[in-house]
Amino acid sequence: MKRDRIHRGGFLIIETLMTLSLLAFVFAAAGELFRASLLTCQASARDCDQASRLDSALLSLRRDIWQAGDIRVSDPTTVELTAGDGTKIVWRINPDASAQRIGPNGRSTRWEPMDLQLRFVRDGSTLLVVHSGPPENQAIALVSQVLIGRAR
Amino acid sequence: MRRHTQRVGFAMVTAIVLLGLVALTLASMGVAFVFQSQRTLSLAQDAQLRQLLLAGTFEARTRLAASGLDKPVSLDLPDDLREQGATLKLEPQPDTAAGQITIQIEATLPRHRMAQRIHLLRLDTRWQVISADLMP
Repeated sequence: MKRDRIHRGGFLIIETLMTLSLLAFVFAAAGELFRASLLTCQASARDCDQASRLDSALLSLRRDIWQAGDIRVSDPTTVELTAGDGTKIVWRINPDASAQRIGPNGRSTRWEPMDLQLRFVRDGSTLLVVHSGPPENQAIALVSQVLIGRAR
Repeated sequence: MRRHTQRVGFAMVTAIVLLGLVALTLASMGVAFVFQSQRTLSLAQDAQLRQLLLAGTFEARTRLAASGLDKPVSLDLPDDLREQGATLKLEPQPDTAAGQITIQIEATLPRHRMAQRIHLLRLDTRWQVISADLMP
């Protein structure tokens, strides 16, 4: 009788330990899944935000370059554009990686910092906006219609 | 019997929560995928339309130097662009000073359009673009 009781107690402990270890395994997997889900959702939202911000800045810069009769890159983070009617526009990449446009009337527009490091390179009638990637050092070419239309 | 039912309930709730997380992640990735594919398509179409506008400017200068451009003209495009439904039109604008002309160039793709107005100045026998405005 006594031996039978001891045997039953041992069985319960083993059963409990196995259940606990299974629960721990399931919760660890669930926690990892939860963390991965949150990180994926955050990364997707951040990528979409960043792409929208970059597209918005590039849309405005592309429009300015298109009508620029002169493109002057004074340093890799600053470009001065002069339109056909003589108005000047300055584009600047700030140290905090935000983009800034200073219009002809001195009005400033700013785009929130991006994870990309941008720099400007002049290439004939084209301004190259080189970004840190991915992929690394990929350039977006922005063409000036006025400079192309002036060429022979 | 009751304990067995409770255990099954717990396992089911856990499984449903985990499946919900996976579904949420998949939905989030799906939204990002759709956004990126639409963005890629839109950027590609924008690039194509800009190419057409540049080609339109070149054609306008060529026509002005050769025989003039006094009425709207729709340009012939290569077969692959025509199959995509692309069009390119040049439309000279009235009331411009002597030796100058303004031309509106419009490029279209299905559900996408881009136009610009270029101002040209005559220099001897050739025409030079002095300003260009992309139109909204």
